[in-house]
Amino acid sequence: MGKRGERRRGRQGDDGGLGAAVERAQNGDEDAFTHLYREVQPRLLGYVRGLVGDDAEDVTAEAWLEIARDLGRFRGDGDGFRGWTATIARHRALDHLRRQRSRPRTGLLEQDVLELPGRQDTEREALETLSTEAALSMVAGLPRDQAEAVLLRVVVGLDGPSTARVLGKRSGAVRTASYRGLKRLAEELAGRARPGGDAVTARVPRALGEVE
Amino acid sequence: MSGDRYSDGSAVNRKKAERLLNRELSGATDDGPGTDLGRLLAAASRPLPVAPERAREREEAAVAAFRAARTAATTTTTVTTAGTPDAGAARTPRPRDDWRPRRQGGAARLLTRGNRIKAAVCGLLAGVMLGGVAAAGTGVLEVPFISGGPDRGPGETRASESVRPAPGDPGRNTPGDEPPGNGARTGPNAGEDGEDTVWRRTEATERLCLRYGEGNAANESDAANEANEGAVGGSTGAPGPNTVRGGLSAPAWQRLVEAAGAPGRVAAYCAWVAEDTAAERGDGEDNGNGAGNGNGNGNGNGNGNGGNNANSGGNNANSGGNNANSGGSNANSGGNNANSGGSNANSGGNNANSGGNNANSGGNNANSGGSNANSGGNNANSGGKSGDGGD
Repeated sequence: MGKRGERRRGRQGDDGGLGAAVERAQNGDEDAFTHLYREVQPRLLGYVRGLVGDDAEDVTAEAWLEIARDLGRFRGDGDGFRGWTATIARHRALDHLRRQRSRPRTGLLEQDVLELPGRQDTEREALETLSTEAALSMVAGLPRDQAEAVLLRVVVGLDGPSTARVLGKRSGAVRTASYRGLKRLAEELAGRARPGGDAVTARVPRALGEVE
Repeated sequence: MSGDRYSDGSAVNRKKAERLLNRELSGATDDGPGTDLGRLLAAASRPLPVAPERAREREEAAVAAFRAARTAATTTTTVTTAGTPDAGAARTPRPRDDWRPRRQGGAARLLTRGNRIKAAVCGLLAGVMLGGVAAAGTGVLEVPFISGGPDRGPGETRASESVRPAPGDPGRNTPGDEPPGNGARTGPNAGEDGEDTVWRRTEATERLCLRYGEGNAANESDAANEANEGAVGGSTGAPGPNTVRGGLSAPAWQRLVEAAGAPGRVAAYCAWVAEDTAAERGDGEDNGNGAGNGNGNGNGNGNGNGGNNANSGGNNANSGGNNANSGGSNANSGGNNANSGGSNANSGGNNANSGGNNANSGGNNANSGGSNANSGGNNANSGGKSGDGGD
């Protein structure tokens, strides 16, 4: 499993050397491409997991075929590369959802729900052991525009304008959606933690495919 | 919580929200106490566990694809506009591939009325200045593409006087201020009223045309995105009333009219957009199928309605939305459909086909190659055997 690598700094500063790797890969450097894959794939996987659930690995694999094929067309720095790859991954995910539409999805597994900490756990302890799958499931359970905004900002690590571009929306709309998403998540967490409240959230999180 | 209030009465503390959203950007690690929400987001950002063996296989597959693409690029001699062969950057960047940082704002800024006009004028001037000009017998000025690649306008223009500026590389096209990085694809203008409007394709008009096509198609696509503000974003479309405006709101319709030059030319404009988009995608293996029933890739499948459908290979039948197919036998109905290769059958909407056997009905259809049968709408065909119905 590829390591997450250096922590990004965003457009204001160093992008973890990603931009240089992109250029080298575009010029045919295979090691540079491998570096790109290892840096970017974990984030794409998390984002796509939030969109399609279990089939995330297959969907990201499809995305990488397209990324590899079109690499020569890309123009931009490391942050741009994250946005570009996220857009490709999103298209593949949406295509996947359309193909799946006729079939009911178990999507967000009952297992994920069971993994959510029970009433008896202390708040913090429960959240510290919250698995990535369960956390992504909670975010995925938001209304779709909110879920995508939060996933792209937090999991993929895009800035506001890049997120808006990936989603094809105005920056203001995306900002609103992300704020609402955070607020809703906070409310859910508070609801679960409240004494006497349901251990499992009142609203069962679902993969985005089911929300539609 | 203090902070801004939204129409639903909710209040959000913007500072806290931005801190949480920027956690990746700022390089913040999760510190000890933090908030529940912070811990949740931190958990969501951690790498998902993947079995090492499978992870290695996936990585190898991606690298193999990279090698294959590299080989393909180096065996094709492609010359950039600078005259030097460059295997790595051999493919012409499309607007969607241009993620270079810009000084000002976001993509939305480029789409303001003033910027569109500025960009169009700059593109026009640049085209005239930089390219050679060959005046055809009909009086049409044709300026060669700056960035290379074949001229992909649909059909023949009916105008007696129109200028087709070169849709060059966005970075080169503007001597003026900010470049139209988000796409200044231009196309031929078919005369009639609004004839001095140069057709440009941007991501925004692509989206509007998708919605227009969906609204015009008698499709049964599921409404999936009413919760979303703003554009469709290339996914399934909401079913619109079958009005001339394609179910678009007045401002959205107005933007399409501006882009097309006249209300009566919106359909033709969107057909060009669909075809230009499809042509840009080349022979890709992109398979995106419409929502609804019977989706498929490969052979013998029919796809449902709505959305933006791009198929390649096999026999694909799409209905609704914007459909781009290549290869195989493709049947589309509704929306904006662009097909290339194979046998393509489209009905309704804006359809652009190339190659193969194409059958279209309704809407705006642009086909090239193969055997094409169209009925209804505005149809532009080139190559192959074409049977047209309607305009």
